[in-house]
Amino acid sequence: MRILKLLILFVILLPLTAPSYIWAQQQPSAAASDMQKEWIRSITPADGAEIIGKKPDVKAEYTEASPFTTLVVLIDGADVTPVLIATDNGFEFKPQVPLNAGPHTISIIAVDKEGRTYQRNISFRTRDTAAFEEAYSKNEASVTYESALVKPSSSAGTPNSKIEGNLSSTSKIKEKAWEFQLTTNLRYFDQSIPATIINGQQLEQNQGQSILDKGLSLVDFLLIGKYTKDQFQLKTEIGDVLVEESAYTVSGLARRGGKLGLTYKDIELNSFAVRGDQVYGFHGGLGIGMTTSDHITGVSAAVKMFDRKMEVKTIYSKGGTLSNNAAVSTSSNIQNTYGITTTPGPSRGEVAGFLITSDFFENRLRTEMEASFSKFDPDTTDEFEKKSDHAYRLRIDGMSGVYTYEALYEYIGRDYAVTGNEGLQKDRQGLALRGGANFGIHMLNVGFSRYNDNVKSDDMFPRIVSYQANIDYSFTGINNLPIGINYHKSVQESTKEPAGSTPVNMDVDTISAQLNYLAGSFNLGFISSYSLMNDKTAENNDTTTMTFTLVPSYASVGCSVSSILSYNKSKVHATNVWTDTYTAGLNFGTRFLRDKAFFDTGSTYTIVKADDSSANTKIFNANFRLGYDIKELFRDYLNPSVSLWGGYEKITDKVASNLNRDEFKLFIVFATAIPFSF
Amino acid sequence: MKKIIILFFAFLLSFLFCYETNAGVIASPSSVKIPRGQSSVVNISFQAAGIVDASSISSTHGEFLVGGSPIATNAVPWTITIRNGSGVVSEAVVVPVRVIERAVRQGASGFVYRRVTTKGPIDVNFTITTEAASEFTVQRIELYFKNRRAETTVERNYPDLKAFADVKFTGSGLLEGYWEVDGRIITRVFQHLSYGRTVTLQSPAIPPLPTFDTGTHVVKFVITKPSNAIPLPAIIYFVTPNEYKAKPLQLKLIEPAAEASLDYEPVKFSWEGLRTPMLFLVQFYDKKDGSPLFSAYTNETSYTLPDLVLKNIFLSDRAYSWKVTAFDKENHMTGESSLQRFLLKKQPVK
Repeated sequence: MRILKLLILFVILLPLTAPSYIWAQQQPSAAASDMQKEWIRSITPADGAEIIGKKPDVKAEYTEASPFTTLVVLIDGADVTPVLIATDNGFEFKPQVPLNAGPHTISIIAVDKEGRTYQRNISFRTRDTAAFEEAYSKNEASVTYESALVKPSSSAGTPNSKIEGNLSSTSKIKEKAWEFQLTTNLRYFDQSIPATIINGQQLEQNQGQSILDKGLSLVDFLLIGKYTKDQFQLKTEIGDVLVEESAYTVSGLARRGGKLGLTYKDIELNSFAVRGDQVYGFHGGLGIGMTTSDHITGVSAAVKMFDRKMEVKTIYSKGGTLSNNAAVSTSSNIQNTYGITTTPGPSRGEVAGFLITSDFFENRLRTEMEASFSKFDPDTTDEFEKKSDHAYRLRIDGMSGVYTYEALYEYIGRDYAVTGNEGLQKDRQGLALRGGANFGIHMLNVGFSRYNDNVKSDDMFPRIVSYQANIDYSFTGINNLPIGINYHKSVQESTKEPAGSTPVNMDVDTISAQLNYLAGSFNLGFISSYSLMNDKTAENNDTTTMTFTLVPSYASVGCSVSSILSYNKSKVHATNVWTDTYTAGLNFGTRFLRDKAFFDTGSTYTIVKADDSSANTKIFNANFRLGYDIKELFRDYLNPSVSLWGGYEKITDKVASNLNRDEFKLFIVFATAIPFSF
Repeated sequence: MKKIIILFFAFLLSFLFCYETNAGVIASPSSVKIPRGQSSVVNISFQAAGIVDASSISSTHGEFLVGGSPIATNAVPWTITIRNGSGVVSEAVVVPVRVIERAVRQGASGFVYRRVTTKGPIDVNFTITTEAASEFTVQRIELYFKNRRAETTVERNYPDLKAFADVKFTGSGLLEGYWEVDGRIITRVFQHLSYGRTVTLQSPAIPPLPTFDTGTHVVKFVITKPSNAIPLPAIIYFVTPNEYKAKPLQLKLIEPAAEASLDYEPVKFSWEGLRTPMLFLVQFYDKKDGSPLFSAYTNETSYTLPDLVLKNIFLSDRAYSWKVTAFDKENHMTGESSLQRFLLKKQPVK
């Protein structure tokens, strides 16, 4: 009997040896189905049913009253038996976590007193609405109104009143192969002073144009459309997109524009067209354009081979920036720019890249080879044409057991530059090696690199060879006391110096250590670092800096405190001047009166003092907010609150007394957030 | 008496001579190393001293000279207002790439920037070199949030708002600066930078960027050294009045203990509960980073792996990990445990 029981168990539950979701989707045998008809009288949802809703009622009734000793009910492979509600002759259940639209499986497995096992699988589909398989819109409208109660008479940068509204929305519809998703923030802003001053900060572009506009503006948006059928997918993105192609072509390019991608089996085609400059709001519309002076466009094609273990990709991109975020020659105060600041000149260029990646040994040995060719004109207003150059790299990395490794050789030409990847350092070649080991409580990472510039060996200039090495160790053997130590050394030496040029011969040694003491909700961190830059040339431009930082923090339900105490001492050896910098910060937040009232504050106190009296500044800043939720006075969904917001700033500068300030401002703030979803 | 008078006049003459010699305008720095192949912006301070015959000194333009011949002009004028004989003006001199290119094509490894003033010319010597050998200057700053954009929207009291600064620089030196929100210093940064790759700095976890105050906020990374010739970028975050759901609390797993070796039979897993009524999701993993091998929902603070599940999904003589996640009535995650390993012993042969 026992053998028979095991045999039945084995036959029925053989699919259970697969992962749970496979188990749940297995269909019972014909014999088992016959048996199921006998032990379950009715079940909801019915097999093959299509339900409109995210939390369908699940009910089952046995033919006999509680005939089982064991019952396991799975939904999509997850055991929900502990949350079933037993009924007179069966059970019922309503998922607490919403089910995603699409196919689902309920598996009911039972063992009776005689040890016989029964199984019933029911497949059904859910859809959010009758019109769309998946359709939802999560929105939140919010308004904040501030009115000044106390403001400093000297402060023209403090508005008497300010109002800001925001509508956040995430919406999605999906039906069969089609899918659309829109995320956006629509914002309203107005204040009693010009929009070029935000929270006392001058915020304008070089041309004197404000970054923020008064009135309504579409701050961000992203519309994604997808068509998926079998192995074919078409994907479009319009709005604030992120373009990532390769390290030497377009990388980390977040701009307003559009992307279009096609995938068929192992072949991918992508294209993009975005603005060259960053913008806030809906300036410039959708950002999609083909003019190469102020847009960046590109295409790429990739094919995966050998069971997707290797990919060959080619990229072409061209475009330019007007450099609205660049510095201008001025003798007046320097202004702010939005997001990016760079040296001036409208630039334009194009790049073609070829990338081969492979992973034939399950992460043990991965390779990445890239060769890219660029033509770039850093200033289109001058008489000089684009310059051509190239860059290439070979990267090998992998992991085996507790060990990781990486080796990189790269060459980036003297004139190699790419529009849309301005952070790339050109005119350098070299090798970098990294290795790591994770022995559980001990972790070790080491690295070494050797690079040089002047890759074309131009006689007019020296060649600087740079060596860098670092070692990083962490120990987590004491549960509540993780420790980390890091040492970094950098050496730079010039060679082939032309006559009259200044040699370079510099070492930098940096050692830092970090430990944290954890005790429940309390965390005490201590970080220290010491760094010496040793200029061995006649200029003797040595500098030393050392920092000690203590970071205690505490967090519990309804209360959090984090603070920082930091001391830095820096020395310029040539002048023998030490500068001491003390920083103390406190952030505190709590809710009280049954979570109806809240108080938050953030403050910083810094002292900068040089021993030659060239600097002697004390700055104290504190902001606080004391508020109360007045939800009861309104309908529940309004979530309004009223609060007092205050800011205090005191600057005492003994060197430049014109910077001294002692200001307090106080605002009454009404805020409300109205979530609405459907 | 005569000697005293002679000495007095001698002293007066020498004083006037020296005073006259030192009077005028000097530029600081007087020489600068800039990289080839790209435009640069250099802060130059023009300081006037000992001026007794003018209330101001003005300059209509500057010239870039190679071998005494102009190769470009800078049409930005400036004026030094003289008070008590002295005055100062600071100029962010933009050196366009064409100036460097023209000099290099004439075989020169440098040029002179000459400011033509009402008190005569003032020269600054520029040396063209490689990026590594140039002065320590910041060439490009890009600020962004986690979404890689210069704008983001977060809920009130969102705890993990981070800003990043990609700093591209030439030369090597000590970078000093601070993160600032709405003019309030959050934390200071002191870091030696050796020429190489672009450096990415990150705003600290503690103190965090403040999110308790609703509305628009402006973040800057203010660089105080090297002296900043390019404008500072600013990025914007908006805090909505809606309260961020508190960070999930750490759930404590009770049994089995970490690294426990268990018999291959129905196992009870238990953990500490939280105050509010909730739903727990128990997840089991056979690989640390993979998707769960098996999961279960329960309202209790324990879950026993049914024999049916154990024998058909879990293998004996194999290590697994488990974790528990708690949800409130609105399905917000309110607690989460760490991942803890256990071993199912080898099943004895019967």
